[in-house]
Amino acid sequence: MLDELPLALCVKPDPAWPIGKHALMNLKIVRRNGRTEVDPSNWRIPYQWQGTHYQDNDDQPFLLLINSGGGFVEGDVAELHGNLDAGTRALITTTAASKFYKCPGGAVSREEVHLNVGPDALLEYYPDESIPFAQSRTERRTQIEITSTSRLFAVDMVSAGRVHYGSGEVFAFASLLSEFSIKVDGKSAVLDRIVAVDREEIQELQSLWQGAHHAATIVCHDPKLPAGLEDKVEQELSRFDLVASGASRFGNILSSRILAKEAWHTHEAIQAVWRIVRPHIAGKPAKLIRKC
Amino acid sequence: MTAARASHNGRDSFLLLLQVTNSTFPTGSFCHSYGLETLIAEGLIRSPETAEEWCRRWLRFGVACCDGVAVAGAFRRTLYEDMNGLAELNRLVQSLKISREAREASAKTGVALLAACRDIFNTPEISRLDASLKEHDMLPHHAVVYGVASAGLGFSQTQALETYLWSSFSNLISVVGRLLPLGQTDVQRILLEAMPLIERSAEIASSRNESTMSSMNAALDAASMRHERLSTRLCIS
Repeated sequence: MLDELPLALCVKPDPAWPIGKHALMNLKIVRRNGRTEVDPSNWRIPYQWQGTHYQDNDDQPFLLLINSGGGFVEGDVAELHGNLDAGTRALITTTAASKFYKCPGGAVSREEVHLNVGPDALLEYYPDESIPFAQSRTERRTQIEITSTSRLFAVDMVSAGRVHYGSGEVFAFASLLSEFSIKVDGKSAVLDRIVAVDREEIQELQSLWQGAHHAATIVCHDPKLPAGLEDKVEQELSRFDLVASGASRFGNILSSRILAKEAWHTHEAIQAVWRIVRPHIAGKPAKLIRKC
Repeated sequence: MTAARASHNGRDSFLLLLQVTNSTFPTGSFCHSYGLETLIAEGLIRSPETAEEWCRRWLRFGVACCDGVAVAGAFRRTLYEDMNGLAELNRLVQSLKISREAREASAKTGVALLAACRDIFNTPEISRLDASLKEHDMLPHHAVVYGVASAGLGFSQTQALETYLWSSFSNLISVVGRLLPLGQTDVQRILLEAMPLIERSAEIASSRNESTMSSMNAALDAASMRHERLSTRLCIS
């Protein structure tokens, strides 16, 4: 099965990876039986494969990525690699937030997501947030490659920490490197990168987020992105209790920033953007994703 | 880092530096607030103190960690005549601008700076950059053009970085000064007090790896996005 994927898209497990500390999931997303189906070419714990749902009762599978480890302890690595064939459509989400625990020994915890979206394919990548705990050292990269005819709704949300833990634990991590990148036809189109690796950068992040505890970036792509969609998104976002928000567009890419004090405010705002965008890029309305 | 080549035609590189960084040099930077006009209109920036805070943060986390790194990278690539590398760097700078206006501001001032340098100095480095970016169907971004022009004119990398950061900050605080408004003395005081930060930002920009160029100013990005729909505005971005 492994050899059916192009080499660049399929990472084979290294025998040296410690069992239980290096999660791997390779997905091959194909058109078959009149619908899109997701084949887990291979995986390693703590990533778990539990099949897909067709929550819209159509041809689009919803994949709930399960990290049975419950989070990243020091030195943990998780890799998700996926390839969407031409003309497929899939939604990938997580069952819960990615929690990055403290790293007292100085090692980092790392999450890598690499998704390749073929021509005329649709990817909705809608994971929960990442939460870097106090003293954590986090590296996370989400890299999505699409073609000029692909459609994309992708979210990246990072929290400041365990906001409501005890008296509050925000911006208490030891380091955070977070990257969310979109390439179109092999060329870098959007690169959202947080580099907070020293005390000054971590402390200033709160000001750079205007006092918010949660920051989300949304990137959408559609070769036929309707005119004025970004105006509708921004108008909708203005109805929510957010610290700051905005929406913009360059070419066929719509980008949006959402900053909020509360995670649920951010979630509601992201969902609102999805409600506006989804009918255009997926041809159907958005609804709450069932995760249980 | 010392200049890699002698200044052109016996020209004094210090005087050339003054010319390039002078506010009359035609780049159009004085028309851009990079989202700060939104924050002023919304009442988030009301005083010289808050204006200074936002501008300093923009310099340290917006310019030093992104465009500043690109100036240094463009400078070095020019010395090695790495034209493909310059095109890649130019695309990287563009990708890190999350809002339309931020992209356009960087590209418009880049186009203007390239045209001015081509028409005034006519160095081979600028001509090669122009041709290479046309070949890649890309608009030149300001930081990349500045790095290339600085190398071509015989400045040192440190001079290139410090003058880029200084003129960026000087332009922005002048724009903010007009919008708030601030008195000329306030503007000059803020500029003076930013000198150590400019030097430190130059150090950060010269030592930072391009793989960690960042776009951390999320609040300003959001403000830049809202600026597109600001009902009354004086700035392009």
